[in-house]
Amino acid sequence: MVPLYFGTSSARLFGVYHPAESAQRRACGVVICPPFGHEYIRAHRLLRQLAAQLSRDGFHVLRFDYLGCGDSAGEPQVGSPSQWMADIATAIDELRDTSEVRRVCLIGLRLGATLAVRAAERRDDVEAVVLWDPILDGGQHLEDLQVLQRSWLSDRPGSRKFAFQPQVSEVIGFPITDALRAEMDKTILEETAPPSQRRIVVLDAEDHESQQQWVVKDAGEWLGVMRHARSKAGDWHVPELVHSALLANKTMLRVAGLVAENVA
Amino acid sequence: MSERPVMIGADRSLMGIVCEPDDPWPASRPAMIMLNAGLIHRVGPNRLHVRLARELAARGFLSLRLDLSGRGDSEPRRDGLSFAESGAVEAAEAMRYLEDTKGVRRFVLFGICSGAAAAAEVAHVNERVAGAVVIEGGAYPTARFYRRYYARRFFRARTWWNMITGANATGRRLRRMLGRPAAPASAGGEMVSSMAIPESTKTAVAAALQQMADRDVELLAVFSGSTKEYNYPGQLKEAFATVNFRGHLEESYYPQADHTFTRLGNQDVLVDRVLQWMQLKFEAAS
Repeated sequence: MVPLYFGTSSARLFGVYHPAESAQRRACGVVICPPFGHEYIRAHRLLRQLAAQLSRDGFHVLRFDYLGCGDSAGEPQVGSPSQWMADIATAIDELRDTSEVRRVCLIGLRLGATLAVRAAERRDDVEAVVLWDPILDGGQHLEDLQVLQRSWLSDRPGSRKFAFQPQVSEVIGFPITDALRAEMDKTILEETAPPSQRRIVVLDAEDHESQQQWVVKDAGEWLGVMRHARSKAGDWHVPELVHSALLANKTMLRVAGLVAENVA
Repeated sequence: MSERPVMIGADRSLMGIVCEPDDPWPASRPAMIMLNAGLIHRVGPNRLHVRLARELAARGFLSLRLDLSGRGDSEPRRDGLSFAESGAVEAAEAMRYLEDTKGVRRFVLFGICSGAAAAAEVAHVNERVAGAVVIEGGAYPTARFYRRYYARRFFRARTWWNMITGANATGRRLRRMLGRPAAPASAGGEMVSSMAIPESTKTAVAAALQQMADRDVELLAVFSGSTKEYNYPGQLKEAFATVNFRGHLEESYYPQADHTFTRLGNQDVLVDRVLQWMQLKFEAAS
């Protein structure tokens, strides 16, 4: 495991490179695209374990933080889907440069899945995209987060008055700027072009029904769909869990297994 | 300001990020080491550690945000040390690393929740610790605390409702007297008994606080409205009236904040408070 900063001096990104540990090296590298905001913090350890598992399976793996997130440079206010898609492209270039793989598989969790699909549309070196509990509609995602924020606030000291504001400007500790809101409204998975990469969809979220409808609609295009057992600790909309680590080891191992089986 | 990931410890299994000011700083100025809040990795709750580290660097303070073993990007330990023991060992390893690589000899430990407990523990036993920021650490009820606690409950509609329905202890007694069945106890209904802290624990904590004060260890204790056992600024000092803090204890109370200072406005207040305290206590060190 090699922690590093990469990217340009004005937009330094933090990442952790997990070189392949197996003697059988894969031709394809893996870039892990995290969620944003509090979901990123919840998922951190789990995505680390996913990276470690994939490196044991012979993949060179890079996981990283978007600009304005985690240990990367910038205030949270600089974040937007277009910026984060550019960051995914930077991360792909970094992994190709570091490990000398020519093609990559992107694994995205939540908004990371949506961003990974959109980022892959602009490249010809993405072999496959894994969508783990993908966000179908960025605008709807923000609305869901607003509901979560209000629900969470209603039980917090001195916060009840904020629970009734028509539009929230922060969600569980992270700012929601007008610029972010405008871009999120346009970040829609359903409107993306037919995929040119193989795709694997993993549904473990509580709102899997709408996701499943979307997957079924496009079933012909997809390599595989896996709906794992729903677990409370994997629930994204429970106010009591907003600061809890995501516990979804079985799903994580299944994701790693699907990648190992289907990606060269 | 520059940031660099580092691997620390004999087997380089602990990961952290060193955040360094651009300009040289006095060798005796302490560096801050930030410990994990529970299972949250080194960025801290709501990315608070990252923000604080960068603001500190802008004011000439070096910092390390560290993942203790088994958290964030650090490996779990394999030697069977307890949580408390490993925290002290690993904080000492981090200090040794900063001393060897940056020449820093004094340290301020920073922690929220379980990180606060670890920070206080290490500050007590390690001579190189010059200060500790303990956020949402242990609170100790006083007579004044109970007066305020009951006064607030007396005027709260919920208290009266619980009494009428028998959901609190007084209500259950009343209903027993009237021969009526009581409702199940509500959360918080039995708070007072759960707040009782054994005298032996308090005596040990008092001794530790006195030792730290005698070593001139600066202490900033911060509490939020989520700590039920704390309800007025200055409660910690009053709870340990026998300890001569010699001006080394400061307390701040933010009743509008939650346990991890999640709302942005509360984050601003907390970061400003810590920066102000660091500058006041340690900026002049040279």
